[in-house]
Amino acid sequence: MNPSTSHEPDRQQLRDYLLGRMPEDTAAEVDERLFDGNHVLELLEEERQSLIEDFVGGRLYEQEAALFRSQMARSPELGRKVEDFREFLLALKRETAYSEKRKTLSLAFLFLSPALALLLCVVSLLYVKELHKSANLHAALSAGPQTTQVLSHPYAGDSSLATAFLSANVPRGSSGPPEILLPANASTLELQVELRDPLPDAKGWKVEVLAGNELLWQSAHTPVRRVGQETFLTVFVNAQDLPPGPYTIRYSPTANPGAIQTRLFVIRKPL
Amino acid sequence: MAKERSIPGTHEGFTSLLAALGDSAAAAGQHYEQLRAKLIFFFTRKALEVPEDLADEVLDRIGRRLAEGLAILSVDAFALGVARHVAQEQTPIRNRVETVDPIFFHNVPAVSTTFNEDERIVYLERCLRRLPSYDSQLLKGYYLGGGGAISARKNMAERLGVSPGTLRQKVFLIRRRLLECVTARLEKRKL
Repeated sequence: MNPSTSHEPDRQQLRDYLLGRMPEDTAAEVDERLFDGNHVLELLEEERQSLIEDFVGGRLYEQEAALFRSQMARSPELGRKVEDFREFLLALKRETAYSEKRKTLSLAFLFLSPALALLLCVVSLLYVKELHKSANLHAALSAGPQTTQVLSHPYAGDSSLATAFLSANVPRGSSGPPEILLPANASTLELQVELRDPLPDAKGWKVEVLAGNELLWQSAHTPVRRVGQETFLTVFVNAQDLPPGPYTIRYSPTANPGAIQTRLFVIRKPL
Repeated sequence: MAKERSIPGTHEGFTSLLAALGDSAAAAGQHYEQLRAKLIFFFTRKALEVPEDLADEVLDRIGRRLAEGLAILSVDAFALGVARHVAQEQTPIRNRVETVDPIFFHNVPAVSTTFNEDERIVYLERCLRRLPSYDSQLLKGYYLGGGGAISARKNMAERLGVSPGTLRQKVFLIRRRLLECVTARLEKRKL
């Protein structure tokens, strides 16, 4: 292999040179080319890296591996290069395994996330609903003896409907009947009276609203209204007939007029 | 890098050598490393003990000659001559397995050895995770894709639309960045 005329050393020649098994005269020619420019140096560095990779990967023939090991034993730098590559390869493999695991988890989460989001929505909805229910209950209970919530329904013009709710659960220790603050513009009071332990067959009720002993309003066949677990009697009273003061609402099943129940309430109007 | 290594011989000789190797410090440093690498290849293939030390010996002798005022037309060609002379001074140990002291093999990890989880590997992993995704994929494809087969890498280069040399260079640069990252972390830990 004459440096001026011969071809570039091929991979096998480079490897033979590196492992020191090239005939001396041929190796001397490669020496000449090695010290003449940097091209052969680059080829040798590349081939040495390939040799290191093959050694670490266990791809060398036994004779080559033995030669390489003996070179490593003589050259601390070569030994360090091999060890560096071994560490690099191990780290790369571990990182690949780690990435794959993370990818699998991400995929799993990707599939699970819509379901989780839906579940979260449902739970949130139930929670909010429960919160509202609790707030209503709290309001109703805390209103207790002092006042009963009144809802205004401004349907048209000045005449409006106000709704008051008389709960069946009267708080303990209540010192007086519930108060209904009737808005000034209310023309009709819708009074919803919750029945305690209503008889299932009692569909029609006789209802009377009294101011003291004076009968203000009455209905002989007031139907019951059921909302969920709760049963109501709904009566509509002219607000003009209800000046501020105490009232009694008296009701009994039409079929059983003797089973009379009464509830007291007080009407208040804004000053 | 050249400055970090212990350079045998006089400071004057080393300065003279660098001056002969390049116009700038960077160019001289690069040339120095290339020449040293050539010498190591030479002494390695000659199956001589500690080729790194012999390379430094050659560089030291050249430096001294330069400091003495010798004009050298081609430092590399001159270095080969000195290297041959140094090689002749040594007792050659040929690359024959039977000539190698078996004790050496005890210090060389076997191919299939399970690696220790030392700090360096842990930092390597961390630095690998910090690499941009493209670089990371490139490394994995290059080193784990085809078992190191040349054809696999050639195919990879074709797929990426670059020459195998460019791909190799890219991978080399990524590995160098990785090494810098590991070194920085290890240094930081020492503080």
